Amino acid sequence: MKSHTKSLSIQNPWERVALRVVCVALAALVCTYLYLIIFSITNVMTMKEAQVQSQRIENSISMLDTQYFNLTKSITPEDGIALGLGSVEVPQYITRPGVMTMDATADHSTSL
Amino acid sequence: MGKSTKSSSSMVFRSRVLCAFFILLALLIIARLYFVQIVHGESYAAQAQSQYVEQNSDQESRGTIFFTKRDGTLVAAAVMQSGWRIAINPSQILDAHAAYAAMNAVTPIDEGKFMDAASKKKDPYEEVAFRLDDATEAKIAALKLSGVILVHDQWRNYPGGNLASQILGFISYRGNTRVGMYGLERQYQNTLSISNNGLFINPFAEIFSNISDAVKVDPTDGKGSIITTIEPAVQTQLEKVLNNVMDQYTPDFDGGIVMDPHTGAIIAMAGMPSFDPNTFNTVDNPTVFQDKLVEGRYELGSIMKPLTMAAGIDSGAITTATTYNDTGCIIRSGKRVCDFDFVPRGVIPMQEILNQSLNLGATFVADTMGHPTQTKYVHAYGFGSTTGIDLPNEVMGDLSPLGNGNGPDVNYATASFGQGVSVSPIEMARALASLANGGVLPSPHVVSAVQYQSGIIRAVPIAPGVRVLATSSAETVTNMLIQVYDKALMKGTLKQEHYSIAAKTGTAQIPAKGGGYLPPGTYLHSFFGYFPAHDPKFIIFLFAFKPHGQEYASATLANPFLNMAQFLINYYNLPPDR
Repeated sequence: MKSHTKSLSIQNPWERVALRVVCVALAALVCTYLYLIIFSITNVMTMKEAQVQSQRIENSISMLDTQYFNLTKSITPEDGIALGLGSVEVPQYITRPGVMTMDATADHSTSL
Repeated sequence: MGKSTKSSSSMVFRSRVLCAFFILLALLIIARLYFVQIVHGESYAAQAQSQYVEQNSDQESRGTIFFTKRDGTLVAAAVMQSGWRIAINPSQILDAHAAYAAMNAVTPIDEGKFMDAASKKKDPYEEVAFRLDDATEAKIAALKLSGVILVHDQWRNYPGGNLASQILGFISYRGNTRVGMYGLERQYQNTLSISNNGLFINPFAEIFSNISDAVKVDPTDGKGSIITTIEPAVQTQLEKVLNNVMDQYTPDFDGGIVMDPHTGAIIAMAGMPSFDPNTFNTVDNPTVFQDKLVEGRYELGSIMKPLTMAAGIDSGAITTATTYNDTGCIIRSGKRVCDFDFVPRGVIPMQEILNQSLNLGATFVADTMGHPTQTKYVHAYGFGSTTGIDLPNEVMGDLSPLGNGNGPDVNYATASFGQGVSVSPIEMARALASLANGGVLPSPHVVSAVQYQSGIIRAVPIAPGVRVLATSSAETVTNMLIQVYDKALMKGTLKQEHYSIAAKTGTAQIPAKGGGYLPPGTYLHSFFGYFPAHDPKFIIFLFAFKPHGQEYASATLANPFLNMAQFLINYYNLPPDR
């Protein structure tokens, strides 16, 4: 009986090592978990703000595109003339000679 | 003593471990409280109002549909807009007139509807105004009126109004869910509908989701916005041209397609009359929702003759030097088949079959190559099967009169000039594009890419083209069609000196219910052309159903075609090719 009680009260030398390892692992896990939580919270806050911002931008895009389409529909050939642009109804065509027709007598020499 | 010190320090240590454990537990509970109260707080508050409002569909967002301008920039054609709607709890409205006056001073509200809603004292929720912006909502909220509820609202806005309405479609409620009805909204319902059930809590899950989007085999399996090949300026011009045809010749309806003949990209596609998808619920005649270019099937007439000619040349049955004796009318299977004017012309070459659009000439080509061969080519052109265009409810042509090539002779005679067999306009446009594409059928499509929420854009793979004709056969017919446009069509008055255009008209009889055809004077007009003919950038197909005032398609559609062609030449700065 005395020896039984005695064996229970004796601390195993590996116990302390094991406890330290477990504590370190637990601390690492806790730190990782806290990091993940903080990262997630920050991400959620940023995503929430981004979503609100995104909706505002979508609304702006919608209004601006509506204006764009309304404006393009209202453009007439007379507006082009008023801006000084020429009509494309009578285009001018020019013929550009190819490289082979360049003047063969031209002096291409360079002097130093 | 030493033993006692040791055990008490051990006790302290263990106590500290326990303390740390409980502190950690408390931190976990605080974090959980943050998620419940801050992250999901609005959702739970909204659920508390669920006895009044079903919020589920409003939690669903929707991707944008984009047009693509010629310089590659994207323009939103369909986009979600956020705002507010006003609802009232009639039992809590103290003075309906005062409440109405206060709110109407901020934003117009229908008085009759408001008073009617306010009188329903047993109803806890009645909506009275919709689609309000944030500024208006803030002003209404500042009034602090009893019984007035401001609810977040989301709706689909189509900034272009009528523009490409039949291609875009619109969204409507099916039960409590918003779904696409018609057009791209319906075809890409799964891609466009994005569920917003809570934000991504785990950013790593979001990363994996983005990677998954990037490697999906079919990009349309992911969720996001779609980018179309529709060019808004070209679409606007096409709709203007079609509206002019409607005004001038008052057909029942008309339609047009502008397509890249090499890739099958649809640059513009429209049908008139159309509608405004922003106010689709006010439309009297819902048939305007249908895209008749895809969902309709017609006997398109003489526009088939170039394809018959190409088949004859490709099969070796005829050459451009072949001639035939045109007697004005012939008998096939006991039925009379005639040219449009019943006039015999004697011995004439193949070019004149296209120049003068001679039915007997087309019949000659069909007879010479043999009906089984003719049937084989008609099927090869894609008639009788769908093109696979990414729009809903596509119909396939009806080639039943041809059977397997052993039917009555008259069926093949009429099919050679586009009567007796019915095809959809998009099928015809694709088949004709094979002449512009060196003998290869392109794959018509409207959507070019999907843009995911992460910003990743993935191109939608396009089915490879199918070769129908030898390149030389397509080139031969192209040269013939250039002759048609330069010399025969409207006596050559539309010839463009510096641009080669290959084109052909079609004036088809319309089948009557119960058999036969409608009386003379009631026709379907069609026109197609591609340019620059030897290196085409565009093919244009136009049609008008029962136009009035003119008998032939050359009178109704030739100038609209040229109008559209000149616009495209100038807009895209196409260099002259002659």
